[in-house]
Amino acid sequence: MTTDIQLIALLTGSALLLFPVLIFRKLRIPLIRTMLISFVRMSVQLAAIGLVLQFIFGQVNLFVTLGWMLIMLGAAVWTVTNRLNIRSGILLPVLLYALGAASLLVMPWIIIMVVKPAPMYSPVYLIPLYGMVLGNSMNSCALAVERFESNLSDNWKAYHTRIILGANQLEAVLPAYRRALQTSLMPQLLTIASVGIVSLPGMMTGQILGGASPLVAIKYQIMVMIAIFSGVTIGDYLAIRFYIRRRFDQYYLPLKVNKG
Amino acid sequence: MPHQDSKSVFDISLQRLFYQDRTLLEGVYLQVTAGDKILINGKTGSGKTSLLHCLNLMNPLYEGEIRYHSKDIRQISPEHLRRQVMEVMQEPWLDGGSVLEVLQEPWSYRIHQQGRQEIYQTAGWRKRITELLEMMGLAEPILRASTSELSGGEKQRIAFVRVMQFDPQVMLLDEVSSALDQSTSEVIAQCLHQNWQNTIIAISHDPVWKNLWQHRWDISDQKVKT
Repeated sequence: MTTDIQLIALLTGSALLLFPVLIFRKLRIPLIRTMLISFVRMSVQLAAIGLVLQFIFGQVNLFVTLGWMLIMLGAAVWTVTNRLNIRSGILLPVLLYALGAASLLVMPWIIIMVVKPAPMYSPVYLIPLYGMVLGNSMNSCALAVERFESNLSDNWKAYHTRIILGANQLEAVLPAYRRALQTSLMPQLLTIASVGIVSLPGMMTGQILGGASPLVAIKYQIMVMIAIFSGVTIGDYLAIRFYIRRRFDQYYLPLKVNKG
Repeated sequence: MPHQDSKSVFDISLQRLFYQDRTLLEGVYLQVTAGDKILINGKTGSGKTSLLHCLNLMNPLYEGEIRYHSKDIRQISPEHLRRQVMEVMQEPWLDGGSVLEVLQEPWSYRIHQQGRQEIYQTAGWRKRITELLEMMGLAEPILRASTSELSGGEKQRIAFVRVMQFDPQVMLLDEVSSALDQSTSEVIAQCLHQNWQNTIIAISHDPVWKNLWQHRWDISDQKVKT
């Protein structure tokens, strides 16, 4: 088991934040307030989640586990919707379908074929794994839709030309679609290629701290990286695909999608 | 209401035509028969472009019905319609790369039409392209030029060749000569006058094009007179 951290020790440790405070002061960067609020918020959120997870892990109940995963999905969709300048009425269903479908494809696959926990719905496995797949898909989806939208708006004349020359909807957006997927997946591939040498991923660190052998931790890590990349690609692909349907009318003419 | 006959390409009967929330035209009843060369005439903002763009569904904001070969255009898939009713824009957009690639690109939209994907690799296609280039006063070596090296007049003529290679039943021209010098404009007008049998509907203020038109649609006070 991991050695517990005493509460008083945690408080002492937080004195490390003095250094950022000093640096911000010296350079007069107005970040101190934001930083303190962020850390308090993070601590409260984690404390609350800690209690919830303790409850869920204690239950080992299919419905409780699935219910929590749905809440995670909802939170991910909500986060991305707020981040982008696209009407939530358009974005919300798009992300719900895309992230939902990516989860449904990737999660059963790794749980049933690779991890095989007993029972299958064991929350100790499902929830952290899902968190990693979903968190990455969420960020990448936001990036992909954003890139797609900006590729389109930088090139309306190209789009317009394609449709008047007889392109169908997909053919007309294909260059923008392609570039958006490429730019959103590139950071993922760079991360994957640098894992191990530069950084030990969070999950591996956690398992090693938890007392697992590095060799076991590595196997989990490889699997998680595969699951994440696959989930991210499926999520990005579907998000743009669904977004296209709401971005244009039946004559392939653009609709208004921006907030406000 | 115009009567429909077999040579009729477009039967237009619109109660109203809008631009955003504004009514531009009312009571538009027009017929286009195969081979017609029609000039749309009217002041800026009178609705010329909006009317032209109804015909390839680039402006679906109208009340009424437009029939293309007696089929309501809203019942035709947009790509199908726009492959037969093709537009040349005022300022054409050509992708980066060579002229050859620009001329080939629209074929990639038609790959699901049987056999069409190979057409642009055949000698027949090359011959047709060379012919069209010559009609437009350009020579075959331009195919290897990069689009960024082209002058405005060359770009416009390439945009014409890009459309004409498909022999579209109808060409819609939206002020195509307004950014061109006199001699280029004349070349294009001559080419269309002598070699183009199919229908053309155009907006133009250019006097050198006047020989081309048999019909005029004059727009004033929200009405179209023929």
